[in-house]
Amino acid sequence: MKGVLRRGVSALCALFLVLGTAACQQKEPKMKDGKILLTVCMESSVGLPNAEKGTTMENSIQSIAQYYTASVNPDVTFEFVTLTADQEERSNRIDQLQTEMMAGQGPDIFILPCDDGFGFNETRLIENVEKGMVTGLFADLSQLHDQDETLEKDLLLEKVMDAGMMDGKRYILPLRYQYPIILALEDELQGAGLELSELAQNSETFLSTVIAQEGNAWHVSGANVFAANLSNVFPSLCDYNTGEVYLDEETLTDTLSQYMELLSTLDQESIEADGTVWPYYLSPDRPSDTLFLSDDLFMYLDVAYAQYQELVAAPFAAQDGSIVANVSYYGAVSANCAALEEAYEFLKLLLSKEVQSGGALEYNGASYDASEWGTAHGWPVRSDITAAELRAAVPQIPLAHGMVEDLQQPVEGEPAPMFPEEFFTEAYERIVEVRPYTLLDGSFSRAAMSLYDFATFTPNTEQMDEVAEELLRQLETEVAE
Amino acid sequence: MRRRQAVTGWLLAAPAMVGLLAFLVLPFCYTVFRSFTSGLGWGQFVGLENYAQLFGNRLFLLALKNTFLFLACGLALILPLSLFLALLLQKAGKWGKPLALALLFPMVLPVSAIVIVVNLVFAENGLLSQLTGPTSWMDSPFAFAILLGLYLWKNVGVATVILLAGLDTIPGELYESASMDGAGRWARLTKITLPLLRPEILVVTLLSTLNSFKNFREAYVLGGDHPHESVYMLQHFMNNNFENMNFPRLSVAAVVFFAMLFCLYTLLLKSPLGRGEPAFESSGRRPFKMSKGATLFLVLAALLFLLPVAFTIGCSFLSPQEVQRVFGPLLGEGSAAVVGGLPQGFSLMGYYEVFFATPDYLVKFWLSLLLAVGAVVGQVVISCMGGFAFAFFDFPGKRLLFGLLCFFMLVPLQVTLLPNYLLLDAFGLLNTYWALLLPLAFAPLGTFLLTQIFRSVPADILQAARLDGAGTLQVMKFHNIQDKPSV
Repeated sequence: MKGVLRRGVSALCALFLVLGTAACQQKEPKMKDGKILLTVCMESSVGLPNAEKGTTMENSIQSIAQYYTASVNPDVTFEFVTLTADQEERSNRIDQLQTEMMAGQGPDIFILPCDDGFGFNETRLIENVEKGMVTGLFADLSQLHDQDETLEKDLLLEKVMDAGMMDGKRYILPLRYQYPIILALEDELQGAGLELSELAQNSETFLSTVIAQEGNAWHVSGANVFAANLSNVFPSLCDYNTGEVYLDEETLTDTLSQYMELLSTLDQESIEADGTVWPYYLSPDRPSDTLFLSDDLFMYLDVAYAQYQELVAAPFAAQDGSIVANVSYYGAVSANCAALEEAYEFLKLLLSKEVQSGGALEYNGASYDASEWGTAHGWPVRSDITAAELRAAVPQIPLAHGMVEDLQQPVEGEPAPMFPEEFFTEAYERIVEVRPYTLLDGSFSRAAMSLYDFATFTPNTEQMDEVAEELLRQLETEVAE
Repeated sequence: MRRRQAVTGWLLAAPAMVGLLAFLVLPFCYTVFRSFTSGLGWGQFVGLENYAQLFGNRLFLLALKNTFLFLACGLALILPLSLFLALLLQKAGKWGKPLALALLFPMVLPVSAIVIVVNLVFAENGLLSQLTGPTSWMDSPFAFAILLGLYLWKNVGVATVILLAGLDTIPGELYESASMDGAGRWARLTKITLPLLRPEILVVTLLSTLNSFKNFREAYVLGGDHPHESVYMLQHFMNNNFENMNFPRLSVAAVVFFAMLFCLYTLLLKSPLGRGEPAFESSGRRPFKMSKGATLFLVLAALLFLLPVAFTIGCSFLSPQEVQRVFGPLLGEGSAAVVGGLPQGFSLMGYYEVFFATPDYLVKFWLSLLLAVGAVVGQVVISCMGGFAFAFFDFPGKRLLFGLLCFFMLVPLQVTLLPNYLLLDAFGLLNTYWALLLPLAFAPLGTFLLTQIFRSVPADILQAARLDGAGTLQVMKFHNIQDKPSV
């Protein structure tokens, strides 16, 4: 028996030696037709396909890859893994990719959104990007980034780019970011004797200002704005690296109590105004609204302009008056990638002014279209792209979808004037935290919405503690798993 | 002669052992290795960092506590309950077989069907909530009790049948002598039945442990990734870490859990329970008489086991609209609802939709059947050879190998999935039917069960056959025919 045990232990030691040796082997880049092969994982589309040009994100990234092969490195060839919108196919593909990645294979480059643009239930390849940085899904790009002299680092928004760092190492390159903004009709604002700066001072003044208003319409739209941005009320939620949760029950309960106060002012009549629970676009029945900074803003502006209304906006501020922003689209290199330098060089192109502003890359007289990036979720991460430039790159969508009662015909002609550039620069100054968006952010919004029973038109006051507890539990779970 | 017996034993056990090594031992070693690394692929060596982190992880500790609590409660309930049912069934005479069969039905019911039944009773608007007011039972501390009940309902049948087989081997004369000596029921149970039933109790313990891990499927479908805290099990933790692609953390959790389980079962095997060998050969049923009350109890128990099966079969004959009308309100959320009345018609629409309107389903059905047949054929051949070797041959390392077989039988899918993927990839078997067939055909449960069953058959048959000049294969063939039901 002892002999068997001894032999067993020896065999195990030998096995671990083999495993250790295999682990220490240098990875070799994948090759195809004598060229380095890079596999890029992406979504098939990131929004409405460009109706005029028929482009999708897939086409844009393929086009950028062609540019890379033509002008940057001809010894590289690409393959593309596209995640489709079909739920069953998508889910199976993601399972397969996850197993491949854990086995040391899978895509080399990820160009993926991390916001909720596809809806809450969409399965993601990487559910939580920040956690992915901690668990080692991505390659460390610090050295390449730090030594890179061609990347226009001074033009990239530092606070946003640093969201890709964890423990001093750079793992992802944010490609788009966003923060919540409050939109309001100026006439209604003035009529109510409100100052936008009051609403935008911090989340507490936002709630107290809305509660103090006479008209129910302000209460309904205010509740909607607050619920949609609940996670952005808290500047620090947790640290995936240390496993600490910063948000405590008392803070969350206090915030929700004030929100419940607002909910208790709502009545059936005000909610059903305009014939819907949450009417689309702004009107006197719904004088304010919220959205994440993206090209959707252009449509809101155009609708207001077409109705001869003036739209004003301010960033939605957190508890302490700062702004919490989110990375909404990112690029990263897999930890399994053996051609790190080539992959980084490709990703860099997505930070160029041409791609970020939804233009085209030019080389040797050929043009490589990247216009889909104009409509990618969120806002460019470069400081040298103005809102007006972005707007010019994004095709105007005719407003004839029956979404607004008065606008049954397409609106053509001049687009609405854009906000001054100071709006964006000042908002950027107030940003204290940028974190990749996770499904948890969506959970905060859903939890806030669940505190009102739309069937009986009453606030679920007794559920508040339960909701707070559940949210904290979700947060702790997200950090611990 | 001994050498020849050892070689034959090794040869017979070899296929099962190769499968065990390839699909469980090596993958588990890879998992142990990965528990000291971080990241993807082969990872970077981080020493004991992962272990240190895990022991500070609240969720892991919660999952560990829940899993062991569930296992302890499950075993504490399933063993006496199955023994009680087995004792009753033994006295049931000709009714014993059909009633025992009824207890086995829940095992063949698919998880989705079970979940629908559980939801009908325990959902927010389910039958129970009709009495108590809307309560989401699966999202309350009662979830643990519901899951435990579900586990018992599903697994007590097989445990009963195994114990019943064990009871049949105890000669009736022993009880008669004991009765004549003045031993009461309790004395007969504790001094005769339980000591002689040790091998079967050990089998039931191991099998019930395995089945308690399999209960994760129901827990997952009922409560999702993150169910109520009371039913958050280690498999949830492992599964969620698999989805987060954190294989090192999953590995540490698996290693810690199996180290604890290993210690526990080593103690169990070293205990008197583990030393039990079948004492007697099958003696046939004894003509005990059963009271009317006991008969009624058994019939009611059988009905309880059959009800969800009958419900599922019944629902298959309702049109989708009818199912929605009758049961929809119970499964819906929001305001309180009542059952939408009794079904009003009989429909074959469900069958039509499955077999004629959904060709995709048919393809999947036949493919699954093909794979199942392949896996079963492989499993029967390998298990018979392995079981025969472990039951009748002495060869070096037999106890160690059988111990490994028992232990690795408990390793959950999430732990072996990735290393098996690597192995199958290395042999170029990915995206082939072999990738599905091989791990199933080599699953160790069959070998374990057949070893236990073959052990209860007298070894004299083997000796006699050998004396008559029969080869090993002939003896095995004869033996398998004799033990057809087990095979």
